[in-house]
Amino acid sequence: MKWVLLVSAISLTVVGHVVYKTFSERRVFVFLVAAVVLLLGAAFSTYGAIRMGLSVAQVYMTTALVPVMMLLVGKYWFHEDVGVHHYIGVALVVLGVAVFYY
Amino acid sequence: MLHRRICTQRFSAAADRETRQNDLSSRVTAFVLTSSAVVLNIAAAYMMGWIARADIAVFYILLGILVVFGLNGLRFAVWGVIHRNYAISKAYPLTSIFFPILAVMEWQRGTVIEIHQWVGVGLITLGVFWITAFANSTRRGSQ
Repeated sequence: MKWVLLVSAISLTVVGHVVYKTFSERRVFVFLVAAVVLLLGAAFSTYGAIRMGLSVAQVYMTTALVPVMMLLVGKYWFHEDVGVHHYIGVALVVLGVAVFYY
Repeated sequence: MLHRRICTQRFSAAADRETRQNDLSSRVTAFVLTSSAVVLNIAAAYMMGWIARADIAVFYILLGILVVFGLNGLRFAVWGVIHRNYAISKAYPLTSIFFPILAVMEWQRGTVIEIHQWVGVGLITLGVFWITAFANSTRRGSQ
């Protein structure tokens, strides 16, 4: 359950940021409300994951995957340019999280 | 003629000095703002850890989560100011120090962090630094 909450916290954070970006581009108030709800959901999931037994370090080190996922969302959803340098960074973060949990 | 040259040189030196001071002041402000964002992130993480571990009433848990949300909102606002005024590639990489600071804080609070986990923290820090350090270069390249 704690891992489900952790994955949920990260996913909700990413989706919340994407919705907020949509709000900042289109200025539709519903997107702002949705972003706040999603990010609040992420906060509750983070609380749940720590409450269920994960350490603060484990939870927040895993949040390093958020910029990685944002990068991929930027590339495939918003069609932004992503360079080779970014992929090196992504590889380092993913490797770091994997080594942290090893 | 000589007088005009001296005046021009003095004016140029004064302008250079002013530019350097503005540049330094801009860097210091960017550093302070980015550090504030990191401190807010650490405060939110610390607060979240505290409320998750403490045996407190549901009302205080909800209040604590709202405070964490508020801290993250404030961090978001600080980032808004940074994004508007400074190059991301200069300011954002500093945020990667959040990870080692958090690891050290947790270690001091009694969490056992093994050597491979420190290596993981190092790789995560380097990776986040790497991603953010080149953020602006790609943006410029795409324009």
